[in-house]
Order: sequence, then C-alpha cells, then structure tokens
Amino acid sequence: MAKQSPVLAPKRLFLQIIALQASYYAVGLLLISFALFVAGVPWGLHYILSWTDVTANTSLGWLLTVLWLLDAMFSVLAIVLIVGRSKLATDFALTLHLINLIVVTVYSHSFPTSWLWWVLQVLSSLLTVYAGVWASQWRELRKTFFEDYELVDLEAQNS
Amino acid sequence: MYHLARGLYNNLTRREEYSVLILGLDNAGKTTLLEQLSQRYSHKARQQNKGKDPGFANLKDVDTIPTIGQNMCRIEFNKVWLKFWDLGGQESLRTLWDGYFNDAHAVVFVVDSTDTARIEECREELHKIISTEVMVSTPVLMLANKQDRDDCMEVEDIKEIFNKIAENMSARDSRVLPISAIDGTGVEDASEWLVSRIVRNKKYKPPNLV
Repeated sequence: MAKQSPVLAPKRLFLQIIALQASYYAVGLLLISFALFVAGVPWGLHYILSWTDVTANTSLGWLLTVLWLLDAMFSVLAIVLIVGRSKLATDFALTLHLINLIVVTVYSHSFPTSWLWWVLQVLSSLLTVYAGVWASQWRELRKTFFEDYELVDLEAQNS
Repeated sequence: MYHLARGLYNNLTRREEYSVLILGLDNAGKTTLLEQLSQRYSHKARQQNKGKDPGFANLKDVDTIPTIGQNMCRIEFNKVWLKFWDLGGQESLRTLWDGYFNDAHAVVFVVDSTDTARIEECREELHKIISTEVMVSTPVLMLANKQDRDDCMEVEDIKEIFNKIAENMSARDSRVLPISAIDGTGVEDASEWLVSRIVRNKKYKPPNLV
C-alpha cells in the first residue's frame, strides 16, 4: 500500500528549506561582518539582504561577490548535512537561490539590475548544484558500518 | 521546492481506498469475479463505456488460468474506492494469504457451490482465516459461486455449513450471498453489501490514503 517516504514528507522538506536558507544567511552574515570590520566600513544589514551593493563599480562589490561564492561553498556543506540526498540536492540548491532572489527583491524594493549580482547567482547556483550533488553522492556511497567488521577481521588475522 | 510542491499536491489529491482480499479454494472463481468487477466498475472500464453502464459481461468464453501469486484491480463502487487482491487458491499458495491480512479491510471468500466434495475443506480454510487475530473486526463475505450451474448446492445448504463458524464470529459482519461470477448475477448486491460494511467499519479499520 503506497505510503509516502518520510524523506519526501512536505513538513520535513519545508523545515529543511528554512534551515538551509537560515544557514546561508548566517554564514553570509559572519563572513561579510568580518570583512566589513577588517575594511573599516560601518556595518549595515543591506550588505547581506540587498543586491544594490553587489556592483562591479566598487571594490566592495567585488569583495562581496567573492564572499557570497565562499558562502555558497558552505551551503554545499549545509546541503550535505541537512538534506544529504543527491536526488534532492539540485532542487534544494536552486530553491536556495530562488528564495534569495525574492528576499533581495523585497528588501531592496526593486528587482536586481546589477549584472554582477546575476553573474554571482549563476556561478553560485552552478557551484551549489554540482558540488551539492557530488558531495551528497560521495556521502551516500561511503562505506558505513561494514568498515568496523573489516577492521576486526584484519586485527584478528594479524594477531 | 519542486519536491515540496509535488508532495503538497499529492497530499491534497489523496483519496480513501479500502483493500479487499478475494480468497477461496482453487477453481472457486476468484479471478473470474475480479475480472467481472474490473470490466464493469474499474476506472478504465468506466472511461471506455463513457458513463453508460453496460451491465455485467458474459465471461463464459474467457479462459482463466490458475493464479500463481496475485491479481489486483481498483474499482469505484457507490463513490467508494476498493482495491481487490485476488490471491492464488492452490493449496501450496494458501500459506501466502496471511501476509495480506494486516492490510485487509474486508475478505471475500469465494466458494464453488458445485464442489460438494471439498466443501469441508472450504470450511476449514475459512475457519483458519477468521481465527487469525488481525482479522477480528474484519467483515467477511462468503460468496456461493457458480449459481448458474444446475448441479450447484442451494445457498441455504451452504449457509448451514458456514453457520457453525459464523457462531464464533458473532461480533463481526458476515454474510453468505449467491453469485455467478461468470455472468455477473448477484455481483452487484455482493459489492453493495461489501461497501456498506466496510464504510460502517471505518472507525476500526481506517482506509488507506493513496
């Protein structure tokens, strides 16, 4: 009798999306706050939630781009830890960027028009999708409990 | 988000469905009964008939081979969805039946009314089924099949034979009904009884959501 897999339960998926999004902004907050502090720039929430600062005209814009890409790598880690399913990794990675687009649009009251921001999103999406799928697969295909038995056998043979 | 949307959509479009087991000795007519139900009440048949009810088909010329394993069909009767499982009835296959008991909302036990020699075997098999713990509170419908044949036993005689068992299942819904699976006589009444009892028993055996 067809019962839904707990992995695909809507409540679980919803919570995972929230957790992933929260971790994305949390890491972004840490990275950008640190960079602003080091650069001596006064802190502002718009550096994290707005697209207007990610422009090719300023050195800070390029710095933010690099930091967001770095954040994307942490998101790959978050996908593996929170979701851990290679079949779902693409969905979650793209969802992360879609929600981010909505968040920055709402926060800035305008649709992103900075080309660097869009380039960043494309690069970040590609990175999270491919690395996310690869890393999840790596985790799925890893040896698990059989390892211990092998070790026991080897030790028994050596002694 | 795609998987979330799909999951929500699936949850919203789920419908209630009950599982019914068709059991009985080999050559009782279980597969013919399933075929009869499927040809009149399945979703596919309804679409092909375009809303018209053609009644039951005559399956006299249909060759049915002994079932190894199971046949399954989904039907809709009186706006209730039923999933019928027709299991092989040969002696060696009967041990597989109890694997289905947990998920069954009702049992249809088909008896070959012309096979007087094995009526006692029928009684024993039915007794085994209803004395299983998970089958308490499961409605049981006994169908005296092959009523179109001249050499069949009367329903009253069959009732008498099964009455002994029926005494033990006082708390449970059970009934003996005459049918002829091959031309469909009595199949509608049997389905009606089955659906009414299953729905009445909903509290104790809640439907599956599919």
